[in-house]
Amino acid sequence: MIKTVDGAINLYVETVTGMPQVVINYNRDAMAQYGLNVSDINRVVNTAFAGQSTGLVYEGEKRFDMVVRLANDERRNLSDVRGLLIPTRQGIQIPLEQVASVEEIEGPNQVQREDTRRRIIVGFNVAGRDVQTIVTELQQKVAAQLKLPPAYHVVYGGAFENLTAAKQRLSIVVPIALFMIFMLLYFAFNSVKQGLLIYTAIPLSAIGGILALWVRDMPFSISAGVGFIALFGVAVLNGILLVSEFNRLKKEGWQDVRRVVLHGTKTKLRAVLMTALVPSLGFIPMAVSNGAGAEVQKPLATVVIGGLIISTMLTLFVLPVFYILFEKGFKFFKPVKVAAAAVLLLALPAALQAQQKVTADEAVALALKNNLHIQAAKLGEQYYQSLRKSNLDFDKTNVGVEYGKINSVANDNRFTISQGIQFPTVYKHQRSINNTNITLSKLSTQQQENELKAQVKAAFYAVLVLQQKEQLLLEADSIYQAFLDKTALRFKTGDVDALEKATAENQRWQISNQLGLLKTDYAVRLNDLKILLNVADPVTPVGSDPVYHLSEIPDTGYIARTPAMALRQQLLERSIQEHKLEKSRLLPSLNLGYNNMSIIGYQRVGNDEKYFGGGDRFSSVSAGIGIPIFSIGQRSRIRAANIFIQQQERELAATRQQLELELGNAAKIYTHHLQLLGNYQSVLLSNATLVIAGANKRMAAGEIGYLEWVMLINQALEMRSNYFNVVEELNNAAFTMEKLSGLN
Amino acid sequence: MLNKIIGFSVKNKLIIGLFVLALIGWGAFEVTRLPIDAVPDITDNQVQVITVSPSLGAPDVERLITFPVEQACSNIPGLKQIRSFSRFGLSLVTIVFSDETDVYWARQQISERLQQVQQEIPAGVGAPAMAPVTTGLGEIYQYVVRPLPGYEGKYGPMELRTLQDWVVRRQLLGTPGVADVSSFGGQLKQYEIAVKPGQLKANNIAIADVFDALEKNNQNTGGAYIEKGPTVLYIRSEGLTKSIADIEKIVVKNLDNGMPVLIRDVATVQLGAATRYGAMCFNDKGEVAGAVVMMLKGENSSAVIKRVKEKVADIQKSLPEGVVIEPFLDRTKMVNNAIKTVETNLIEGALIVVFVLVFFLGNLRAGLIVSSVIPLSMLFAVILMNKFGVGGNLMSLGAIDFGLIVDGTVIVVEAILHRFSHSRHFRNTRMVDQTIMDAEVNASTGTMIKSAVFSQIIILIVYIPILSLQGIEGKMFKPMAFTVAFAILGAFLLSVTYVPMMSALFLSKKISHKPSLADRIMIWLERKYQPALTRMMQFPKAMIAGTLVLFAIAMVMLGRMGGEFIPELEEGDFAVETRLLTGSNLNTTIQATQQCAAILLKKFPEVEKVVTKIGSAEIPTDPMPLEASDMMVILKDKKDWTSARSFDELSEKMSSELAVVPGVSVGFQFPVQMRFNELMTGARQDVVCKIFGEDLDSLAHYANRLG
Repeated sequence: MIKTVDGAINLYVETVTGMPQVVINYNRDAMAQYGLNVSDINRVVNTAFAGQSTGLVYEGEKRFDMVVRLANDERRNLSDVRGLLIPTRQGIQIPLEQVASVEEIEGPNQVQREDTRRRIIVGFNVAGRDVQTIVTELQQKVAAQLKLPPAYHVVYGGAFENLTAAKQRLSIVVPIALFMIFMLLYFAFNSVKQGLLIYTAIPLSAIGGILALWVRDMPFSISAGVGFIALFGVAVLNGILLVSEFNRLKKEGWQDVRRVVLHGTKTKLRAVLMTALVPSLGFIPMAVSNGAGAEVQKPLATVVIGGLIISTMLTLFVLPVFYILFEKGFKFFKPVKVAAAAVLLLALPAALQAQQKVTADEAVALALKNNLHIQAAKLGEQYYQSLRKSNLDFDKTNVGVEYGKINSVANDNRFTISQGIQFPTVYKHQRSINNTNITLSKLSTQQQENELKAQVKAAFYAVLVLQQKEQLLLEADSIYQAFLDKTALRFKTGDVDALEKATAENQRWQISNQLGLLKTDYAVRLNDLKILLNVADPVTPVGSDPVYHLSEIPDTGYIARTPAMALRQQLLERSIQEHKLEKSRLLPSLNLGYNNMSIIGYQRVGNDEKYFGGGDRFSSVSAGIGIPIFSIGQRSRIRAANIFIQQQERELAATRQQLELELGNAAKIYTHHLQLLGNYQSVLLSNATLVIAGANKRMAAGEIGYLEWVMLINQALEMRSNYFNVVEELNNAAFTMEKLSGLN
Repeated sequence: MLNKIIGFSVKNKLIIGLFVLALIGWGAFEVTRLPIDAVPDITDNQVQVITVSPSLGAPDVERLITFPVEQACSNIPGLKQIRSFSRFGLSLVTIVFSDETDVYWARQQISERLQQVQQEIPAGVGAPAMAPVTTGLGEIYQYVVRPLPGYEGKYGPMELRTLQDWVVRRQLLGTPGVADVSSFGGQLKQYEIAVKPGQLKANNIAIADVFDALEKNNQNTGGAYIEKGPTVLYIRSEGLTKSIADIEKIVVKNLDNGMPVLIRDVATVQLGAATRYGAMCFNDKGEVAGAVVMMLKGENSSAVIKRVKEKVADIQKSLPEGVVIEPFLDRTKMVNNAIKTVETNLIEGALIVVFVLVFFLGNLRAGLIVSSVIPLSMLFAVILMNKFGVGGNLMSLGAIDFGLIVDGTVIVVEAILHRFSHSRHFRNTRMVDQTIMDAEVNASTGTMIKSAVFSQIIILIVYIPILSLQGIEGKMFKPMAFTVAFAILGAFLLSVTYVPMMSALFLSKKISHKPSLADRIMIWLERKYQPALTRMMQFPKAMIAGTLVLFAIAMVMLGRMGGEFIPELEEGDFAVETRLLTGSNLNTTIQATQQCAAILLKKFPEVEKVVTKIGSAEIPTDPMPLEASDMMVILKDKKDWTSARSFDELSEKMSSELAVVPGVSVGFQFPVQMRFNELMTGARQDVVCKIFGEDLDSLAHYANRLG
């Protein structure tokens, strides 16, 4: 497995067995035969091959062992071992193989233990990649492919062990140090805000350090970690310099935060650059050195240099900005136009949202989605859906225990369990009622939607009409304004009298009043639309034609399709079902039970008297039905249900009548207004324009006086205004028809 | 309060001056006493119990020796881990203690328990003994005792080993700071009575008889004394065998016909060698003897090496002609390399700092004042280092950045200068006198001192987490943290006393309002900076967003970045671990490694010499089996290399060249690093997977699958 991991070299698998050995196994029977002891033979073997020291030989001060062993050529191979002569008690000497078996086998070579357990080592060196990634990859492979029995497990050690231990420790200690720095900052500046502000220097400097490591293609080592620690210290220092300068200026009385920042950075620029550059440059020799030991210092130096450079940049630019933000809040930036533009740019999506234009269909879709009533109605549907299974309303299960003198003088105990249910048709009818309820809720939602659609369209088109009206009024306003200007001029020159001027002014003010009213109306309608649509920002209806085109004029046959009618129908249906339900309640109910008791005492079984104790159980089952004998209440309910059915039938008819009436009326209005509209569009509107143009011409030519002019203009304007009224009524009629006929 | 001190310093310049002089003197003295090594000692606190049992096999060693020793020592307070190693003839138990445990106390505890264990171990099997008190960095000086060319015939492995044991080692042992000298290689001389079994049988003698005969015929005795007239005569006998001839004449048995059977009749008496478990070779010139000098734990390595070298020079004189003691691995080389790096860094760093300061401040004197704080604070740091027992090495001295230390001072001096050149007070003056100077220095320092204090304290705080590191990384980095902390403390003290004093005294009293070069550059920078800043201030959201994006990117990169523990320190020489097939005998290993050595010497001119250590030493703190060896490839200085540019490259090339030797697998590492790995984890590789279990065969099976 290790062979397959990139970067693992010099693989070494510890060999614990497989060492060739000569093993002498004693044959105890043979030994007994010769009367030999193991120790005797051992001694001979030892002395012959290993050699035993019998003392020392002194050469002056030097000492050397005096060792007895077999001559060299007598202890060369296996046959020499086998043929080793052992003295016996009898005085003869026998070869070793007669009392032992001498074999060459492969045996254990070395045994390593750790913490009193045996272990084996598989080791490798790393090159080209860093330790961490290699070990992780290996761990994954091992977990997937190598299955070890219970008492065996694998542990990863070596230099890698230290890395994890150190990382763990650092991950606890570094946050503590960071926290201490923060406390210190807080005490120095007595402000959490400013403490946090300076604190931001730390992550900013970390960015630089990491980038520097990456650029130099160095992995993260403990060395680099120490470098980060040093880096944070200096980065914070820069922050302190700037912020204390800012505070000092503020204490001296400077008010404008921007000026404080600008001046403070100017005065402290040199100090900041020095505190950053001096350490960085001082580390350069370390970062580029190639001498012995440089590999340990390079990461440290790289991190500090890269980190300091980046952090100084960021301190000089980002910190002042943060300072301003912290001090003033976001409001500060409004007056600056460019900033406002920037803010707008960022807020553009939101702004677009605000100016959102919708078409009629879009408006309807939005309304159907968002309107609260619709949402409520939909919840109503869910309510009835959840109640679907409520028909399965069984009685509670009865469990009972009896103890005492039930059967005889002995104290018996009895357990009972019973369950009652209604006659099955009850549940069936209940279920159909539930289903009907669901249908009812759906229809109710539809009706709401219907209603809503009509309302939305009404509001929508009202707005469109108002837009057109506004145009009209603006036009009128300009006409009258021109007139007023001219009159005022002429009044000054004395050509006209005060009456004319007064009239002009009055007219003008009237128009502007109307304009004002219209604007109010417009806002109200927009608001209505917004509420109906239930959106956060107001929407602007957009449409080309304020006239709503109805696809067809529904006749009364369409009534049946309206949700209102369908609703009534279902109500009727439900009343019938309820009647059936009540009737079915008169059917009997069922009851099933199971008893288990003891009968302590003697009983005759066959021919014997047998004793039954408390442990002997006797069980029985019971069944019963409930007959509604006293059913007066239920019968009255049945009668009431019947009457309810009839009521619903009447209601249904009434609703149909009303709907037909409304539809008929709306249709009449619509047809009439449509005709009228045709008139306007073909003749009257163009006439009005002609009148205005003609009146102006004549006025300019002096052929008519101002009174006539005013009269003519007013007439024309009124006609045009009326047109819009007609349009509005037409639209409303159309919507009503659509609603009533279920066409929308 | 700080202000008072500043005021005092500015007023009483002489007193401060005297203090500084005292600091210089004391600091210089302490520098000479500073223990300097290349790397900090990261071995853990351990004691090794070694038992040599030449005739037992691995399972027996484990059962009879290792297990009882482990058991007996498993309940010592402060114990962290017990590792053991049982092989044919050798049991090595490594007992690791927590760092706070006193190693001598631990040895005492172990010694007590070993006495009890001795009774559990069957007689004659072996006696557990503790290894010398040394650490992974303890192998400070390794040498060979070899014959000069031309004398090879005269001095074979046996003679060399005898010389090594009885001449060199004996004299080296007395050197203060040396824990032990572990002999290696050669052949241990023995007087061998090589028995001829045919003769024994013919004479009906058993080996045991020979044994007994020898035992009985080798003793002196005394007969107290007799009085001869007024004087006293002491009686003593000389029965000890002194030579081969003596031994040969010993009677083994008396035959029935009265003829004595002598030793020489049944055996050849000759000089033989003990069964050996290790050997040492020099280049490709064959076997030599040698040794490893081990330093006591906690000693100053450079001092000890110096003494050892002096001693070796002495010993060389007492060796016969044609034999020379040649060191091949000398810690001084590594220390010098590392220290050179440190020196270069320090000096270059200091120069750069000085230059930058002068440049920015625009004032030579001010720059010099700040720069002078650098050596002064270093002296202060060394004083404290000696007081607190922090050694000087690559880590503690090499990672000091002076820019960091003098940050506080820089702020103060910069403020003083700024005040003079920019403040409205002095707009119209050209010269100030001493009193005004004093007052001004006092005032400006006072205003800045709070920031300076905070900056120093913050830098100190950020170094505190390093002090919490434990284990190896703690030993590596704590010295650094301490040194920096001391230096910063020194710089701080100096910046409230010495710096104001010097500024008041030496800064030019002429106030020139003409902007100097540095000022002009500053103004130019300001001009560029201010508008840029104003522009940036108008896009606050964009800036914040940009910064956050950068931060996110950096975090992602951090997650993807690999991790390494501590980058390797290049020690200058290779230790090549060479292994043959399991069960290879000593001669095979010698031949194979000699082949390797020959290839290296021939093909790579950077190689100065190759010393091969096969198997185990006399004190087997590093018990390698017969098929394993460490080839110490001593290299020339890196700048003299021709075959490769980096250590990685060179080791690759060497590996491929050595691949021609059949049956040999090599692994390249650095000597001290290898020793560290092995001492601390029981293995020499960078990553070690340990499979724990009961049965040796299953373990072997899983190990093979894993590999």
